[in-house]
Amino acid sequence: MTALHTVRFQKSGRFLLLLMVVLLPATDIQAQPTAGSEYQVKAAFIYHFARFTQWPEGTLSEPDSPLVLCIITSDPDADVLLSLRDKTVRDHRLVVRKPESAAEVSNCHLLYLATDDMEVIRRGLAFARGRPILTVGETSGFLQLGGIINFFEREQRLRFGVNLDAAEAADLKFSSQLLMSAEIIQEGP
Amino acid sequence: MPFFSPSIKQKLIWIILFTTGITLLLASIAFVTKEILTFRQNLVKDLSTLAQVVGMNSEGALVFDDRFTAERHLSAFRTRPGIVFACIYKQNGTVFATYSAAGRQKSIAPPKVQPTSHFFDPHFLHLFQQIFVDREMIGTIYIRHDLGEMRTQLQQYLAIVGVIILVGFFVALILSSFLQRIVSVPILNLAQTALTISQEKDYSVRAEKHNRNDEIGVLIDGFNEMLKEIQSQEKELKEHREHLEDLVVKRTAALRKTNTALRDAKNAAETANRAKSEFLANMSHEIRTPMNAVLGFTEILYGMVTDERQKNYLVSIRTSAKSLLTLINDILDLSKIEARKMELQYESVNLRAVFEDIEQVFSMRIKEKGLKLIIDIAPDIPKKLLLDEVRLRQIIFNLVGNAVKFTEAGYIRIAAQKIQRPNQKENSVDLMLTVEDTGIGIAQDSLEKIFEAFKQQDGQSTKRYGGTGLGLTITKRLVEMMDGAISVQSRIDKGSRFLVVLRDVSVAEDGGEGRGIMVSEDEKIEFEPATVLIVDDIETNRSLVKAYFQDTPLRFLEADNGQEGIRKAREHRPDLIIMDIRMPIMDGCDATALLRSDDILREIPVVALTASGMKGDHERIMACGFDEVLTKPIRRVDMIRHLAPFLPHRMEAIEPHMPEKAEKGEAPEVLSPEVLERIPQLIQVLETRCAKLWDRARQTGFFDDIAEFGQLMKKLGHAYSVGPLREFGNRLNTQVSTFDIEQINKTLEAYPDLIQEIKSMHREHTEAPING
Repeated sequence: MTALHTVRFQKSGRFLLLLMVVLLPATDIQAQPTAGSEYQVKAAFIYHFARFTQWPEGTLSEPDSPLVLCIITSDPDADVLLSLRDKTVRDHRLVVRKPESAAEVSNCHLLYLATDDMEVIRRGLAFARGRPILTVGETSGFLQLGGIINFFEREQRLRFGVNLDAAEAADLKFSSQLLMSAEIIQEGP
Repeated sequence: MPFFSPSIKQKLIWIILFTTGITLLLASIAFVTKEILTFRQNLVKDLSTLAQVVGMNSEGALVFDDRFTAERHLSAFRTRPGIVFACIYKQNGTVFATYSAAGRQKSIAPPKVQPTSHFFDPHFLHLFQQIFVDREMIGTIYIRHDLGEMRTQLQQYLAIVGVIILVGFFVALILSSFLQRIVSVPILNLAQTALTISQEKDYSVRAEKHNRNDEIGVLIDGFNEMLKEIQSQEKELKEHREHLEDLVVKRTAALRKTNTALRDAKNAAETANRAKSEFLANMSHEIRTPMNAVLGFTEILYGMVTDERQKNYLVSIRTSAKSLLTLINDILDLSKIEARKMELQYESVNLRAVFEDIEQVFSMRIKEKGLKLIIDIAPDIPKKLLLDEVRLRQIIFNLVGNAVKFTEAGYIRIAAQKIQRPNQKENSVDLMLTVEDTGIGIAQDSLEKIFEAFKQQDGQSTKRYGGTGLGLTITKRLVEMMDGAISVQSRIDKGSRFLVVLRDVSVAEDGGEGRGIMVSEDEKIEFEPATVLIVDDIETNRSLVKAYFQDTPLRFLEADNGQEGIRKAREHRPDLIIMDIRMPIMDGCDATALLRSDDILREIPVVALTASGMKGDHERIMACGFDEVLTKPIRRVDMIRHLAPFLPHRMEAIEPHMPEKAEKGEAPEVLSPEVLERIPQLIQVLETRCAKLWDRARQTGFFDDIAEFGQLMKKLGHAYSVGPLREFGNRLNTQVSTFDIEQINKTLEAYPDLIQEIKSMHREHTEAPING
């Protein structure tokens, strides 16, 4: 993405934010079943994932340290996630980024791999492994690859699965609120 | 207690029951209400909490659009059977998840979403609870709770309350029935006490208090206090009454004592006064005795002295001595009256004779002064009245003496009238004697005083008129002694009129001499007792008839109409009826006709007395059955003459004798054979015993002796029916009362002549029948 592109995106993102401020409470769930609003629903889910997740000690230790949300995607529709920016989770401001480098990923608290490109997924997961990064994917087999939360669709509703082992490996803990609505996958003993 | 008015007991029970009932009811209502409110509140609180919990638990389900999880959470309500329905709304109000209690129809439609709130309808509690995440409302939970349980509970409560009220009522009834006595019993006792007191009037009763210190205690105290007050007042009143009686008794005793003391004092005073009067009387007598000698010898000396100057001196001595004697005599009389030594001696008195004697006494002075003396005796005055002649003479003498003394011109009138009075005793009259003059009169303010002793009329010159001032006092006393009254009417310079009223003066029984009525010069009719009925409607007419017969023993009955006449005739059977013709109710003719038809009364003679003088009338009247018809006016003698045939009577022929007596209107002196028989005896008395008295009176010249002699002569004159003797006594008495020494001496000297006269009288009478 070019800088110009980014600027344009930013402009359009600001517009969308405006839209969201005005429309989000009313249109959020209504838009859910529609394909165009898929990322909007997912954005809400991702926001709540962040809310119901407890990062390990040392991470987000400072009260004013931002919660960094990284998106790796090729789908421009996923830009709607940028709207989560400036929201807060437990007093931590959300920062939405599209990491360009591996170094950037290491600073992320949540990594959304909004792609079905298995290579990208594998690199992303590999990069996140061993770090307290909540990885979210949307491709079947994502959890088997070591991802922690994966979106899927059932009865035309967005659902998600949780790999508790991966979460444990990443030293992340989930609220029961999240777990009760999730499909739990445990790989090994 | 009247049955229609609830007793205080009933009232108290009602009050207690009512109060208890209301209290219980209110308490129960409060309790039930509180219970319901609490129940509701708790229910709301419970459900609200539950909703919050469920809501919180459903947060994830909501945000992750996980209906299944949400419904799983809702199914936790199964533990609360009251919850019949629940649901969760999404943020936008669409229903997200629902729950229905088992056995319930699934078709309960969720209501429209509402903010956090709740409300009750008759069957359910509806509760909305919003679910917040980080101050963001993410959904609403709705719970519908069945209130059946609460209703059941409410019913239970109501049942309990009902039981409590009933039990409470019953307990209150029992308690109040006992407890009301605390209040009602003392009041009823008090009322009973009050009733008893008012019925029995016993104020010593007290209401019992029984150690009460409440208002009823105060009431009882007040009541008892009042009773005490009444009792003490009553007692006081009673005491006062008794005290009053005591007081009256005491006062009466005191009064009686005072009265006794007064009576004693009065008696003492009277005794003292009498002693004084006796002393005076004796003194007067002692003074008078030598005075008589002075007068007597002056008289003798007068006859012996020839020198004119000496004669004049003797006249002066005589005049002064006479004045002195008069004064002494008056004092003596007054003293006698006051000492009650004077006694009245009643005898038959002829007023005319008395008046004429007095005229005789004053004739000289009256002539000198150029006055006129009129004697006016009403014709109906009985000729013989029982009076004390001496004192009557004194009374008239004093009054006439005064009149002569104070009159310079005009006349003096001496009059006697009969006073008509109802209920007049038979054989007695009320007399009014009048002595009237045209003299100087008496001032009005002196009228009362003139009868007081030693008081002459103010300004009355003693020098000019002389007198002792005792005359009227004595007169008044004498009149009073005769049970009479004296009064005076007078006007200055016009004259005076003295009135002496004597009541119930008895008419003297005529000692034979006055019984007959002269009907002609030599004829006298003497009626015997009989009854005559006069029937006339005019009272004066009846009186006139009675007056015509006043000296007869006839008894008169009166009736003022024919009917009344018949009634009286039937009742009294009179000997004669004198009948007027014109009368109201029944006239004389009709009455007479009726009498004639009566078997018993027909024999009674009836004489008509009519004013009608027509000849035809006369015949017509006779036709009614009258025995005789007399025409008014009729003279007395004519009437007597005409009526005599119908009445028992005696007719006597009189020899012309002592015409002067007949002229004077007195009954002629008739010496009956009985009298003649006794005359020698009289002559003997006159010549022996009386001669001694006569001698003594002449010797001493004492008025008392002379008066005594005069009285004796008079009495003997009456006793023996010898007129000249009576005349002699009267003359002497009059002269004594006027102290006319000269006349007394003359009269006394004539005593032997009197004896001679009687002797010759006797002789004439005894010889007359012999002579033929």
